[in-house]
Amino acid sequence: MNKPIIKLNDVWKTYHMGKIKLNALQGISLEVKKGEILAITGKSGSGKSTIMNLVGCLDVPSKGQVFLESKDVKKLSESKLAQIRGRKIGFIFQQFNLIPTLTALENVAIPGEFQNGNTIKLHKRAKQLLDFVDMGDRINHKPTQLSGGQMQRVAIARSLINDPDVILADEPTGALDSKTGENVMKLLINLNKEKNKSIVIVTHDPSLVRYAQRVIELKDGKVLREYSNRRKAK
Amino acid sequence: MKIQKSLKIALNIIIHSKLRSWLTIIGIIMGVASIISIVSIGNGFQKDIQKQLGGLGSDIITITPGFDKASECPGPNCRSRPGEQSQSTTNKLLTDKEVQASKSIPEILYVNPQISSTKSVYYLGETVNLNIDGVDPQIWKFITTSNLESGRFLIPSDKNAVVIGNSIAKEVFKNDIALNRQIKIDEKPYTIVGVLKKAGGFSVDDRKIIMPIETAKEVLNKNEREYDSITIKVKDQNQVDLVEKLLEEKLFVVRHVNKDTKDFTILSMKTIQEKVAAILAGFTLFLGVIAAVSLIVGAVGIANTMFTSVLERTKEIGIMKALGAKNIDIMLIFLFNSGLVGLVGGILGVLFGILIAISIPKLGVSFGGGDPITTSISIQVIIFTLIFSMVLGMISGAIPAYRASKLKPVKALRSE
Repeated sequence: MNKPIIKLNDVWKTYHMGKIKLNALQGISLEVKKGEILAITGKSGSGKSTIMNLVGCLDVPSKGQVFLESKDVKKLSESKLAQIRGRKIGFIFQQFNLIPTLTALENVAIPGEFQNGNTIKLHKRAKQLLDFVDMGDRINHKPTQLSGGQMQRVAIARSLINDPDVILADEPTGALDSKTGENVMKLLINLNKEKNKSIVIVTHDPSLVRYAQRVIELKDGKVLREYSNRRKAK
Repeated sequence: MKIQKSLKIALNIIIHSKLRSWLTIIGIIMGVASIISIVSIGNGFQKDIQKQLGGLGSDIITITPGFDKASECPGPNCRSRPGEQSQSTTNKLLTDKEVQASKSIPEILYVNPQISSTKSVYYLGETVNLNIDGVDPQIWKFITTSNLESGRFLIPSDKNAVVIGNSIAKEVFKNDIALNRQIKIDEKPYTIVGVLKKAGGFSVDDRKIIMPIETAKEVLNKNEREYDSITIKVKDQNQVDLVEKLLEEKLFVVRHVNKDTKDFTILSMKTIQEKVAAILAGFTLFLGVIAAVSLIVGAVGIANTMFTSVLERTKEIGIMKALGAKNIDIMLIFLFNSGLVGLVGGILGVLFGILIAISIPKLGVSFGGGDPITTSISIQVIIFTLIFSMVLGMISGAIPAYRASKLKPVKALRSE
């Protein structure tokens, strides 16, 4: 088995709400391996969002370790972590989270700008990525001028700009109709096949789970079960 | 992220900013425009007064009898002690001794002992009380800063000849006094040999009759060898301070006085000019500071807007952080944003202020019926104000920007 890109080791996350302590995650260990499609699923309140924040290195655990490329994220400075995160992980959000004042092209390029990339090269690459997600004819559109599916495709292009190892998709089809959602999922599967990207899908939607090779199901902050799917032939 | 990219994003935020940001910018425009216009008016006023004072001759020193202690030592720390009088000491007039002492100073070019008083002057059925100066007819023309409009200056052979100020010739009497006409003082006729040009400003020569000192002594019933003032022209205007000091020392000796019993006053135009300039500069600074307060109010507006802007963009900040933005990137974006608001407000304010400064003289308004107000726009003030408003903008934006940079990505992403 190849080395995991992201590894969670006995991770706890505790939220303090006034005097009440809430253990959102209770000793979770998991790995994201190179080139796999992993689905993390569970009902609402199972700790999905918390684990997505930890896997995405957006948050640090209360207890236990999260390793990104064998580095303990707790030991990295905020800025250092931001930089590694930007390079290693591409994010796809349910609400697309494009920056409204920037064009599609600029939105795709911006994670590269945070890595001090050359703007001209970045724009060239962003253009190619937008072509790849079939948005090449809308590069100068603002997010408000795009439909949900189009915005999500721009977001997918954006997640690829720094050529990350992992794409972390949080309910990627949640805000889309089923047809558009399916197209988006096809695009993600395609990324996995063609570019050998690891894809982590965090979702409550059972219909997305079938795309994954490996599924981790959470309940009350613990792993309920973990199983492998046979890859559906598409 | 590269600096220019942060700048670009900051600019992008401004371009897409709402009415609120423009209102903030208007606050800055007001502040900057008022600084520029007020300082321009102050500078113009300063230049005007200096021009008028400069016309009085900065190489002239005047000695007058009597000394006002209060004038020497203004300010609260210099109150006269109880029992001590701050009024003028009894006037012991100036004599030939002082004239000789003055002449002995090599840096002095001309010395003109002078007597002055007022007298009733008769012309074509009218009698008016006027100032009369008796001067050395040979020297006066070299010392006076007034110019002739017609006729000539006094010459040593003149006896009953006078030169009159422009106002006397044209305004004081109902009938204008022309060259070679005669005025009467105590029934005696005096011929007008010269009329001075209108000096305006602070010059007192406009309402004076100037005659040879020997004649004036008779007219004004003055003692021989006593003078009301001595006017001195210095060879080099840079030596005025030195000459003032030398004069004082000499006069202490000939008048048998010291610093405490000083009974004469030495005054140079240069000193007056410097004092007036200092007062005016202070005045302009004072007005500028008041205007700067309005700019600071504008800066508070920037801070306010920036706080709101950061709140509004919390989600965007979260997105950018998730996508790899470092704290410093976020900080710079918002700092540049507020700096740009300050700069844009500054630029527009400067343009607006210049417009005001240019239009004010055209309105022909004046202080107390004098010449119309002129304005003088200085590049330094413009540059200073631009930098000031930009720095002020960045300072106002510093706390909001710092807060924005410290937002946790998870929390920021969750906000709507």
